[in-house]
Amino acid sequence: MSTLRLLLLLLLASVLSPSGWTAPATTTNPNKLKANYLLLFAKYVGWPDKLKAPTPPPWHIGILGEDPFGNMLEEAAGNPKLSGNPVVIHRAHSLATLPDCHIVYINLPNPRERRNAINALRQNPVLTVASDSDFLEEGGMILFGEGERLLLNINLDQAKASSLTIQSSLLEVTSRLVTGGKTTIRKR
Amino acid sequence: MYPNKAGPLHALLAMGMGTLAAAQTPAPAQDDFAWMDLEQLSHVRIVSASKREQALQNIPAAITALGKDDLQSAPGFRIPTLLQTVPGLNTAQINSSTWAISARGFQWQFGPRMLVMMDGRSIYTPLYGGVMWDVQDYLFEDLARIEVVLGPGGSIWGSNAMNGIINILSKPARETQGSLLEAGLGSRNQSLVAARQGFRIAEGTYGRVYAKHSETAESYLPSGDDAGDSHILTQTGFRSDGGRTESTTWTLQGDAYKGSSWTEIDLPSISAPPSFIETVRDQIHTRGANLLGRSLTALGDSGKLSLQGYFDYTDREGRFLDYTVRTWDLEAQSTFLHGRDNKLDVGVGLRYSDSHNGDSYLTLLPPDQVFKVFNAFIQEEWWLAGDKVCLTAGLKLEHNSCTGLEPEPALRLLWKPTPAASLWAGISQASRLPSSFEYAGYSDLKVLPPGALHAQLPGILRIEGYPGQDENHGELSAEHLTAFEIGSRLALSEHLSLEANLFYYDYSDLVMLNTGAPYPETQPVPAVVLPLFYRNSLHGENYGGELSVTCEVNNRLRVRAGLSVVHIQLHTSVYDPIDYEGDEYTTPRHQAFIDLGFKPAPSVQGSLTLRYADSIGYYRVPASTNLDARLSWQASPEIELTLVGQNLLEASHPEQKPALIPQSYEIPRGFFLKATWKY
Repeated sequence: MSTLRLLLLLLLASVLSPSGWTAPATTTNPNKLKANYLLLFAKYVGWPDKLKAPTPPPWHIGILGEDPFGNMLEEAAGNPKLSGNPVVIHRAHSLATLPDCHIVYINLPNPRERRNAINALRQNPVLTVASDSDFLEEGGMILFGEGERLLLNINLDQAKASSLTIQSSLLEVTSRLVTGGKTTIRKR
Repeated sequence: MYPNKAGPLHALLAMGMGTLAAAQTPAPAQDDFAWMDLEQLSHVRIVSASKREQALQNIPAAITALGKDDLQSAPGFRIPTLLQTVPGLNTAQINSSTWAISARGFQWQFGPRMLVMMDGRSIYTPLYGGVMWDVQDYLFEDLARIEVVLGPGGSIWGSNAMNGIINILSKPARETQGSLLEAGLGSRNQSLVAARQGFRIAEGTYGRVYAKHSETAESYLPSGDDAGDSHILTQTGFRSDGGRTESTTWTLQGDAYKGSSWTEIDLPSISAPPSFIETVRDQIHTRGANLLGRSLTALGDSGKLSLQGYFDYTDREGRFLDYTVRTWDLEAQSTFLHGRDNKLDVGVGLRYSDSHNGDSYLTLLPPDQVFKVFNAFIQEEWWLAGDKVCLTAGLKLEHNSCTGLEPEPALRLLWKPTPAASLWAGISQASRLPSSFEYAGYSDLKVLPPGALHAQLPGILRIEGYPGQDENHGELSAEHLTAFEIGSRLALSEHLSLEANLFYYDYSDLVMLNTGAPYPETQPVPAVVLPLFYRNSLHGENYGGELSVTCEVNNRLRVRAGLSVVHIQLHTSVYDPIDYEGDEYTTPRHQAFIDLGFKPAPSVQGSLTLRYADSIGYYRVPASTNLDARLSWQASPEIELTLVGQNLLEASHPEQKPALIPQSYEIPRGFFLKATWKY
């Protein structure tokens, strides 16, 4: 009986502790965070001038493969806090039907299809982003990893090879950074 | 910030009113979402309703996670070969298919006092409290990771998670899309053929099917003859994961296997004077199947509910053991993040299993056994002093049909002075339920020649399980452990990290064989029987520690090294006929390894692993040092060739002996070549 009482006490203590009622920054849906990041990347990544020139506004963001975001990207795009420029979202299941974009989120689970897409996009200054664990080794630029928080993994070498620059403030929040052929892991 | 719509109280009420009600808690509308800047975004916590899904740095326990690189460098085809380089884990191969694996001591085929789970399904065998490692298999490429926790985890995992927990996790189907073919051939009959096909079922829903057929290397008998015991196992299975939106996701998976092996065993026999040992060729047939379903539902922005159910069927037929067990298991678990960084986990579970024992050397009386258990647990993590100190308090209450109520509390404290350093300490209590064999086993352990027990007649040492009808023998209760642990993890630089743990265990009520009053027997031949009963008359201490170092010298070279020490002392005040006080010697006191991973070119990688295990006095197994080597060549993005050498330093060596029977085997040197084609 005494253990039961202890259990109840523990329950009560955790529920009634004042910290339980302060608004936490938590989510059950990591895709919301990913959509938020995709919009933010436009702020922290630099594209070569020749690409910027014909299209000062708007930003073009593409989803290649199934769209995991629903209307999250559109909603985020409507928020002036994230991007000063208008944003156009494109969705396609193959590269052939995807218009030129600044950022492409690659959602192709088949590794062969994914590698082909990365190799094709590498020819242009396109920021490639995905959530598949081998993405950086395959030649992708930004990988979302999931742990207690959403983790950013960046292959700066690939970004540079495609003439993209990434601001240091974005690099500071990465948990794994590949630069100069060397991988640095930061404990967060 | 996300509004906290479902606080812990809300969610607990929802759970109390039934899981269906909780599952229907509406996900927040999209317009609740407040977009964030970079700094805010990197602090948002993701609710993952798994029993343990945290950064290693934040876990106040001795835990090792084997990831992709470790899983790829296995020097064999079966799961135990993946576990040989985990500091603090005692792994020893007994013969071609049998392993003794334990954490921090009690390295024994039967009753290693450790829980093993595969994708949330317990593969602990209630018959003898161990794991039938010969029938645990998976396609290694489809494993996501293996987590090994040293020390008790009873406050979450329940009874039998006494000395440690091994958690084997497979990848979600989305991560195993495409086709895979694998074939391998090696010395001493080793072979492997495997295939997997991943596919998309519908939007956001993926599946895979796989099959694996493997044959392990034959071991030697001490005479130098082949033991002829190579073990053949064919397994097939599937996994599908779905749920397009993140508010509910689900998993359905299942496996089925069939295996066989031959083993030569010596069984005690009253009809075989003068040695009273009958050598038999035991043909073992194994088969089994399991089906598991799991769903994860979001409870607002800060909570998740996980519902899981599984069925497992395990069947084994042979002269040594003829046993069938069916298990049904249901559990519900909820996780809530609240406050700045706090986390509350609550859960309930039910398990029912029934087993049947056929005519074999290991016999249960009565042959049909039923086991029921109900459990509830609660665990809270409080972060104090900013992100520097975390206090974890947990309690599991388990009621089972054998020993009644078993409370298993734990209290752990983590101090993280810097992001690169953590110190932790824990006090916990855990229990292990007596196995079915300890309850109801009925087997002749040994037949002694005339003169040993009786002047003219041979003597039989006979295990007679739990004499329920005899009040003088009292009740058989669970074994108990109070554990004190401390540990630290330090990242000394970008390249060098260090982990050290110390533990002190106080065991009470350990089960051992006691002797009863001898009685005469006339059939089949006149003899005197010394009955043996399992009783809780053993206690003891266990202390030791582990030290491990990982050094990423550069992108081409990684060195890992580990050292572990255990020192078990067991005591009893009753007559100890089979020398339990020597049980401390069933585990090598010292174990060490150095693992060198190298990548001389982008398409070539390899490893060299040197392993040392101290002698095992109880079994007269000498200390051994061995070397495994592996070289892989990625010939193209699709094709990989791997050459492996196992136990290279000796033609053969013994590692451990089987439980109960006096057999011994030697593990051979081996080679195999494997080709993997992914497309």
